[in-house]
Amino acid sequence: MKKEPLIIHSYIMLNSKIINQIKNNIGAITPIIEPVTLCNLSCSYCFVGEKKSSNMEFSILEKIISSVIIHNGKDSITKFIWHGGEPLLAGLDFYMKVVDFQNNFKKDGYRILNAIQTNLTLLNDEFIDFFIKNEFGVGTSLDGTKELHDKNRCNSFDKVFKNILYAKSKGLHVGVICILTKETLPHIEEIYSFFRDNNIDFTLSPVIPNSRYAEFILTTDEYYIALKQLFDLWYLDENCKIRVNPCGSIIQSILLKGINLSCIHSENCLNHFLTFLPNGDVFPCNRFTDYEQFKIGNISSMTFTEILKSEKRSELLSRTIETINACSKCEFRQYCKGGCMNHAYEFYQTIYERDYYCQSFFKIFQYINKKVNVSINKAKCQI
Amino acid sequence: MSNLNLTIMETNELIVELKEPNLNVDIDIERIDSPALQRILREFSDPEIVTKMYDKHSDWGQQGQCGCVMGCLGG
Repeated sequence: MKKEPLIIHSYIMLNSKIINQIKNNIGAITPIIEPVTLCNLSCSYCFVGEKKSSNMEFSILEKIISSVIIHNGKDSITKFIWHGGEPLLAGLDFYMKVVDFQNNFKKDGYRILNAIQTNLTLLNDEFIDFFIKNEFGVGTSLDGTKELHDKNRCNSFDKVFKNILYAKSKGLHVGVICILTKETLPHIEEIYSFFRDNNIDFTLSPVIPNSRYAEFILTTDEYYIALKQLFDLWYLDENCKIRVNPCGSIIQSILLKGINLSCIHSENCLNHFLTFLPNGDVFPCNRFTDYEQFKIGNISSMTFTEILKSEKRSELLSRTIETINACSKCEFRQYCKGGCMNHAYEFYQTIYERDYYCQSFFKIFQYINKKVNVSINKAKCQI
Repeated sequence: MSNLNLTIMETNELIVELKEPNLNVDIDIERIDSPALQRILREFSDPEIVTKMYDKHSDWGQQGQCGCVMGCLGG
């Protein structure tokens, strides 16, 4: 007897849902806003260079919020990402003002979301209640166990870990970025077990290949071996209930035939992202804010349309997979799309190159693709 | 065999033609050997989960750029 085609049937619903939403979001800009560039920690491999103490003025904030929401329109979901520096240093009043500004548009039918990337050391009940009430997504950085984390993150483990658990106990979900470096490379199993046993979703991200902290940078083989090890631990683990990326997101990308799930695998992230500094300066991504040559403009002195149409943005938008020679014959170009522009620039000093971690991605896409296909073939229905 | 004929999606970046099934076999989800893959496929199968994932800080689509979801900008 033929079994129910569970997957195929459900994929029709999934695809129409996702495709409609993605269609609606074509051209929508996600602003990454740094209300402050200052940070109360000083992690060894932070990609933010100079950290000034100025806060964003409300006039600049209001202009960013209104310009982006109006540009995106009512059919898109406008997502604001609050970053830094340490964004909680801006204080709760700042975010209350944010929500006030946004509510003026929400009542007219605009759809708005917020996410914040914070080190969590300043989290308190007021912030937690506010984030829950206003549906903020919260992300933090935790590099695995206390020993691994504290070594390079100013002994902040106890506070960060306690606050993750406390936030969760109050109903606030916190996702985690775990930065992989030369130092933490031998501890993949330990890192995986730590997050699994504490039921914390995490993304293993390689340290950005910035020459300021060369001693931490992984080789492409090291990153691939780490990802493969993580994948193998997670893929057959009966006891794992957490999301583990990029393993999960690569599978999703394979199943969705290359619809990108991460900024680094979108063809040009500048189609979707702009970073705003406290003084109104605009950059493509906050990984570039140390490089004056990547400045696109300033929201105080320019209209949002002028920023979108600026020469610098057009120049940066010209980086596509078609302009990267090394990608021309790659079998995974559909999934990878040339990788991160910043990873390319940091290593090759040009954006018209492939991602520094290209070979790691290639090998892990190949490995996961094979594994998923074997699993699916074993589960084919008998007719 | 179910067949998917999805619309052509035009984006700023590229045109993705999803004319072919994502998975052109009928499979029994219970026989998938990986619990992780099973979970992902089940999530695909549940419109409520998909909606929640996409609309509320999802790891779907081109949005989702901090630790709360995908974690690409962390440091």
